[in-house]
Amino acid sequence: MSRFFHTGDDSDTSSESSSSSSDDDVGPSGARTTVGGVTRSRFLQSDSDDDDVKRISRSAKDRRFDALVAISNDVKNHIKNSDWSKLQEDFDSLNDALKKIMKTDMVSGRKPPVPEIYVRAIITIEDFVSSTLKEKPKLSKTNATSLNRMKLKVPKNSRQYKAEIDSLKATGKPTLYDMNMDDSSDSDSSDDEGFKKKAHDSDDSDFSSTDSSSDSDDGGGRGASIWLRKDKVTDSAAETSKSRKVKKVSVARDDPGLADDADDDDGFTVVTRKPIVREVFKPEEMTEESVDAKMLEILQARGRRGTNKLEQITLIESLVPCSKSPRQRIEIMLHLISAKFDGIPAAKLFMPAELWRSAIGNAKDVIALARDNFPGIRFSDEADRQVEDASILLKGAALGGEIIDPTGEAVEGTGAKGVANEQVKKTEVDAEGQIIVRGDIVTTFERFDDELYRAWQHTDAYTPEYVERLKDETALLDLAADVQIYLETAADREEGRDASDGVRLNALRARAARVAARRVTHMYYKPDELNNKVEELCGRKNSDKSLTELAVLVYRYGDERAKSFTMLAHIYNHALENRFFAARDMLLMSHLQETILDADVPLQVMFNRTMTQMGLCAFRIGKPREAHACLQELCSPSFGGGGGGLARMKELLAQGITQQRGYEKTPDQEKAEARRQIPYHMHINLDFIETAHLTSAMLLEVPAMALSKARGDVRRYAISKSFQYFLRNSMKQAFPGPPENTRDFVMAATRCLMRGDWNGAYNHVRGVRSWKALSSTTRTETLERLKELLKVEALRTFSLSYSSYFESMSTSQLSHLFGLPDAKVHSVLSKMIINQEMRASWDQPTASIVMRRTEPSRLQSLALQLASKVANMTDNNEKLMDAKTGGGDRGDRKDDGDRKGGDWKQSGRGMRGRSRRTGGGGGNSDLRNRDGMDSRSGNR
Amino acid sequence: MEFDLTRKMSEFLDRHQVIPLLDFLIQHPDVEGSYNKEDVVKAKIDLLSNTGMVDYAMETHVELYGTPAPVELENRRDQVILVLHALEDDASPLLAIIQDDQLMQELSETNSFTMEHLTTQHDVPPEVLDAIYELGKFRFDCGSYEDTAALMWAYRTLANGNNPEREFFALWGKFAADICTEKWDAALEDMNMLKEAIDSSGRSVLLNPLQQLQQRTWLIHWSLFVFFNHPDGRNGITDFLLSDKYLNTIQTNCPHILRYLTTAVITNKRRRNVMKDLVKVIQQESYAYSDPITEFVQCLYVNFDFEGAQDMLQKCEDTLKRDYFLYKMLDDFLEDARRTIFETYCRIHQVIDIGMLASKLNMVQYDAEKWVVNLIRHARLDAKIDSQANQVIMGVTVPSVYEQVVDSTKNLLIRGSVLAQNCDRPQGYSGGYRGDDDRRNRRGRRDRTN
Repeated sequence: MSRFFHTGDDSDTSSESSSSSSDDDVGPSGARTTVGGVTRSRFLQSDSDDDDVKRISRSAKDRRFDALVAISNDVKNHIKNSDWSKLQEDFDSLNDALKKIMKTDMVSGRKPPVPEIYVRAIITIEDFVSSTLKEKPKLSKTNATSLNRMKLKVPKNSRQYKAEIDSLKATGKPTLYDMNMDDSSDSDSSDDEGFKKKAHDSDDSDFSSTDSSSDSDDGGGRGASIWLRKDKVTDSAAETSKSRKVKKVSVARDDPGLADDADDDDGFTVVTRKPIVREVFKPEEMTEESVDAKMLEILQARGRRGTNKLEQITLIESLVPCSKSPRQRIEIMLHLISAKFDGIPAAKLFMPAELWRSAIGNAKDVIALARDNFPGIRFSDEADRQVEDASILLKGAALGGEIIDPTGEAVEGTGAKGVANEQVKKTEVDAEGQIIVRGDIVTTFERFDDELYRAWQHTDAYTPEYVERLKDETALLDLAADVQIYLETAADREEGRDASDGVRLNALRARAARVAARRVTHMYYKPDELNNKVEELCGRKNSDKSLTELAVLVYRYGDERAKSFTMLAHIYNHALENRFFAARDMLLMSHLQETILDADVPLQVMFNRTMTQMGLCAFRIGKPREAHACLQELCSPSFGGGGGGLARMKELLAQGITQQRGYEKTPDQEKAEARRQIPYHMHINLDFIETAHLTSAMLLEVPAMALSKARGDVRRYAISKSFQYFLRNSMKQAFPGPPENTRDFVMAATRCLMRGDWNGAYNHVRGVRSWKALSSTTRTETLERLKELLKVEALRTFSLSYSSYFESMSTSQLSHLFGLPDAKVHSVLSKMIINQEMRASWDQPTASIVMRRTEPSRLQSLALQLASKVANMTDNNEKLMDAKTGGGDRGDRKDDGDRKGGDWKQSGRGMRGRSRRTGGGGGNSDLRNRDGMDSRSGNR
Repeated sequence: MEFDLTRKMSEFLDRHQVIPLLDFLIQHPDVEGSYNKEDVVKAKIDLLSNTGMVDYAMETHVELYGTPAPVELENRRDQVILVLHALEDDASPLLAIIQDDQLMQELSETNSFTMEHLTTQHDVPPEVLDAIYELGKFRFDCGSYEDTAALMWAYRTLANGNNPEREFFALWGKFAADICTEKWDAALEDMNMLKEAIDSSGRSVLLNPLQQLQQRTWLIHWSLFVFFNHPDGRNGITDFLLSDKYLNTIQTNCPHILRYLTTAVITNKRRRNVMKDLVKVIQQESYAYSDPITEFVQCLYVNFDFEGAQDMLQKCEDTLKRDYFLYKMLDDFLEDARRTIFETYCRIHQVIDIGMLASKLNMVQYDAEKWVVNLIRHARLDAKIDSQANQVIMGVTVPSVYEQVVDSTKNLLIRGSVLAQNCDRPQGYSGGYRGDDDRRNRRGRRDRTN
């Protein structure tokens, strides 16, 4: 890239707000150049590229004055154009510049006089304000508001400098226009004069050359831009002498078309600027054709370099009342909406709220109009498109997607001449007399949705703005409902027709499904309770359709990805509402866990979210086994990287960007990750996930550990490796401190549970802070269930660990100890006996359990050990043999290979790993369930 | 009435098959009072007037209201007769042959009961075949099931794969007819053929998965008639319903069938092996369906709540005796359920008081003692009775350590020899034999460790 581009960037950003802020940069750096001579400011680099222009050394103070001068020039220009919004900015920058001057001089200890030029500028503005207020011309909305603001600000400001103003007014020539050679700010040495003169001459010639081609030239834009940029630089850098200033002013006066707009995105927008801003359309004067023609004219300017986007919006807005028919109105509105989408400032990552709101208001009008005129007007769709020429499609794409394509007939005549020449716009009417409007309301709606989503992503969740943006969702959902109703009505009508067009019908249905899919994404993560509350607050029904109805629509007509996403959202919602079984059945029947690895990342994230929510649901309804199965993969600490469980969780759920140790992300990856972040209000509480995971793991692990100890197993299959890891670490501590984080609490609970102290365990688990994530009723219910589970597991652990010390235990004592009813104790222990976990039997008459533990003799235990060791050895030999012959086709081993081989960086990877593992792991109830379900859904 | 499945079941049954269910509700003394009799009769009339059995409908009508049947029914009757005659005319050439027993025998002996032969030798035009099908269908609708079965058989034999879809429906027709005529052997045969046709979708008839599911659902429901009436039915039903595909169908479409499955499993002598699977399914579906019978199983095998199981048994009795399919099995079920409770109970106890046992088994003490003695005598129980203390004392078996050692080393030899063989083999070569053998060993080992 050449440096030109580089500097071009520079001016883009600095001139965005105002020229004074760019001077802010220039000031000190310019000074530095003088002193050091080595370090060059970025600004000056561009100068040095051109040999004609030399660097000019100037003091910081002078630069500030220059800034003031430059601004006052702008002021003059903007007054000429009555561009109030710009003028307002100028006014602000004037004050900023002044502040800086005053500050610098304060260092030297004395208060400098207020520069005359400033006072003059103020007076000029004041005059202009008052005169405008008197005349009351017709102003555009933005200008009017700016004027109002100025009306307040200016007098207030003037009061401060009353003395100066008065003295200047006394001279009789107080305005900028009256300013002449006696400007005292010019303290330049005259050595530079020649240089500057030269530079300026060349500038002027440039100006005129571009000027001549200003009408519609943008081919030369690049070249011109270089020149103009330079011009700007030299302007601010060298314009000091009054002679030149006068000249400049005169140039500006002579050629109004040249009036530079310093606030444009590019420094060289002069080129295509047209004086249409002040054009006011008078509805009564325009015919339908002329409105169309005007629209086309505006459209052609669209996307060109130098077209002021905001201006375009105002233009189209003012065209709206001129529309003569609903058809035209809809079209203009659609253009307006797309213009608003275009108007997103480049520096912003999303559409500003104001713009968004006004645009969605327009969209609502569009759909209302379309509905009122149904079926006289309809939007074009695939059926029409099929008829059309491919070239039109191309053109449509060139014009930016959702814009109206010129009509088919028109193209036939003019197709060869290209877009620019298209002047005729004929209303297209289909065989039935329906007027066809080119445009896709669904795409527009989706765009709104995307913009809002992006706004959520990029707004700080702790600010009131975020809340404000959240409120916008209601408007969006309103629009969605309207659009969908409209489409469905259209589809029903199409279906009811005798000669219904299959393609069109499908297209309509598919679009309705698209809207439905979007609506689902806005609904699925909200519990009913929340929905109801929102409805109460808004005083109306939030949606006319339930989630299920929408989902069914998508399943029937949507595309594959939408189907998968909606399915997951549906499952998520089931889980959120504690309908675990429904969620489980649906997930298993969807078969998504088999294909999720081939899906795109957002879908994988959604899958992870769904699995997590399922896990939490299982936890809430007191099913630790299922909860653990769902959450295990998510919570296991990441391989390789030391990010820990939380970091991995964040990545898998797209709830925050994390840095992994030992692995640098490329900028692209980082961007992609930022793009798929889930907005804050949709987050799942990470801390609670951890609580659920660890608590479930505890409930499963502790009795299992006791069991393996009682059996004297040498090796044991770990249910949760991460839990065991934490437990080992925790057990190493000689003096465990009071628990601080979730993990500590659960570990403390584990210690209690291992002793069979369910109450202590319960109290520790209850102490975890993340219970706050649940609503109070759910919390009490969940804790209640948890308590029961803890009692049972404590009983199991107790009887397994200490059975060797007892000959018999009575039911009543146990039930007293564990706070369980006799029947429950009986049932728990019976189960253990049947499953042969414990060697004991009941003595019915005394209601006690009699242990039958027979300690093997030394010889016997040695024999047992030997036997198991020999078996182990044979195992190992077989493995060796397998490795040698290369026949490693067994399920279990393959599984391992898969897990290691997978790309662990990929989000969602783990989830498949999990489903396979649960499929392969033996003995748990979930497994059979899954397999059964799989083949079951095969039937469907 | 709670836990009555008539409504649910009738969704999946043919109209003609619902009639016996309704008759059961009307007539059986145990069901007395659970439904308003008049309503049921009305329902029956509605049902009948949609079939071709207009005479029957008229009779029922007279029975219920005591007034002559309305004119519509009369008209309908005429229509039915008209259509029937028309169809019979259409099918007459073939019908004559089929009804001629002697000729039929001759034909089947010479293996020439084919369409080809009939067309050439007996001047039967090929279109008549379809007429036969239509006639069969209509006759079934009129209630002459026997004819239907014969006609459908004839159609299937003659069509011989030319119209697979129709033949498939003809098979259903024959199955329905056989059920209605209570020819259970024939019905069982039909059922198996249907099952095969459905499972091997694509070979003769093409069914998409959803259709397959529906067909299976129907098959399951219809098969209940067969299984609960056929002498070998109880074994058949457990095998049939517990096969993967049908279990899935039950879970997806009709969890209420679990009642019949559970009853069949409990009353089946070979239940031990399948009980575990059944318990899992019942647990899984407990949120979708539960009735006293499944709850009984849950109490007994999941919660080991013997009191609860006992209570449930009472409810089971109420439910079973009002079920058309199960009322005949009530006694068997109670007996077997009781024994199941007792067996499980014994497995976890060392001493049981006979008095308590008697009350749990709903028997007097003397009977209970006798019952236990019988169990002991048939070597189904390792126990003794302490008649002084009035207790049953269970025998205790402690698995011997030596046995464990023997178990875990038993297969080491064979595994070692396999290894030795493989060592000799050239590297990289692994024949199918080795793999199979090896895998079998592995599986064996894994089972044991479990």
